[in-house]
Amino acid sequence: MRLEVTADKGVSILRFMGDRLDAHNSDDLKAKIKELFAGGAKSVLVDLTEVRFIDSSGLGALVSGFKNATNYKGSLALTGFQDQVRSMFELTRLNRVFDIYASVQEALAALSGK
Amino acid sequence: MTKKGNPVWRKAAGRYPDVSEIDDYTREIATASKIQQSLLPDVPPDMRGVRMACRSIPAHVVGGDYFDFFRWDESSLDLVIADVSGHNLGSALIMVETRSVLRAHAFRSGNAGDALAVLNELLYDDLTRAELFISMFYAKFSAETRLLTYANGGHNPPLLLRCGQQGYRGLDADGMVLGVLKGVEFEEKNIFLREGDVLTFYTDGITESQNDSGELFGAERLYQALYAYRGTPPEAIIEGVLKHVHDFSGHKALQDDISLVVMKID
Repeated sequence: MRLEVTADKGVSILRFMGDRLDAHNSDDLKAKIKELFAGGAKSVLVDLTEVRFIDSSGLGALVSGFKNATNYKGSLALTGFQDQVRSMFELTRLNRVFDIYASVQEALAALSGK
Repeated sequence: MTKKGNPVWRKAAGRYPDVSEIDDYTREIATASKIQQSLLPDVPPDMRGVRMACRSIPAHVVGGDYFDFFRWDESSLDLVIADVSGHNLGSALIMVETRSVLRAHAFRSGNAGDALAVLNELLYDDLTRAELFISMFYAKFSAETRLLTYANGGHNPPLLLRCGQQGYRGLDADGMVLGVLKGVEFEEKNIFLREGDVLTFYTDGITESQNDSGELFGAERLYQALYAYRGTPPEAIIEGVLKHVHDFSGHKALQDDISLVVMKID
């Protein structure tokens, strides 16, 4: 797993490169999101396109990111959901908490205007 | 547990622990595991009109699964099943806290939705600090009327197999995992159960078990296993499901805690 950060139109795009987001790597993602907000990022987009499987630890890292976004008065958005990821968000109802976009382009169009 | 993955060793600042420290740590974890397992019911309460069985298997020495029964009188019972995110020592500590809060606020008079709403408020700050959340399903059952009322905090919907019918119904209701937002309202739903119905509460360790190709066991395979054993007593149904999960996942170690509670209506 690797985390890649780029910036476009004032949005920090954090790309999770790996097919599983679980207990083995969720702490790294959690720390990276926090680091971005602490470093002054106002809008963070997590791109999960490569993720085929997410478990509760992975969801926990994103929930922690959501709370950090609130603390830092920023926003956290998500994109690139595959089927299992989408169904986990629907099951837990976390799809109502996050701004979820169909693609990076769609997210950037929406977020850069904010 | 590897040295790298163990916070105790990381804190040791460049020093390798000696054997006695490893022994102490292992012993303490073993004690925690023993205590945690003792907090889960061994057997469900006896109640006329319903037969039940339960089982919990942690993936690691300690885990975040929790289930409990609150028997109010000879015909009414609350049943709760929950899963704290992650499956490590932190999850286990929050599981113990959840159990204490739940037991201290016995919800006899309230409804299932209120029970989840109150728990969400009570646990929110601690869950935020721990960076964890909980999925929880809360059900109230009357053996006299066979009415089941329930609310769901983002937990896997229990599977209901109606007697004499094929297929299953997942019991879901609107809500949200606990510890994410404050002020969440939880919908409460009702359903009358019938003689011979089998209702199975479970945690996602079952449905997220994987085979060598990374395929998930899923709710459909759980249903197939339940359907195959539906005519047997609840304890045998649990054994049957665990066998199906084990056959499916082969030699792969358990990735997540597994808990199952099976209710069969007489």
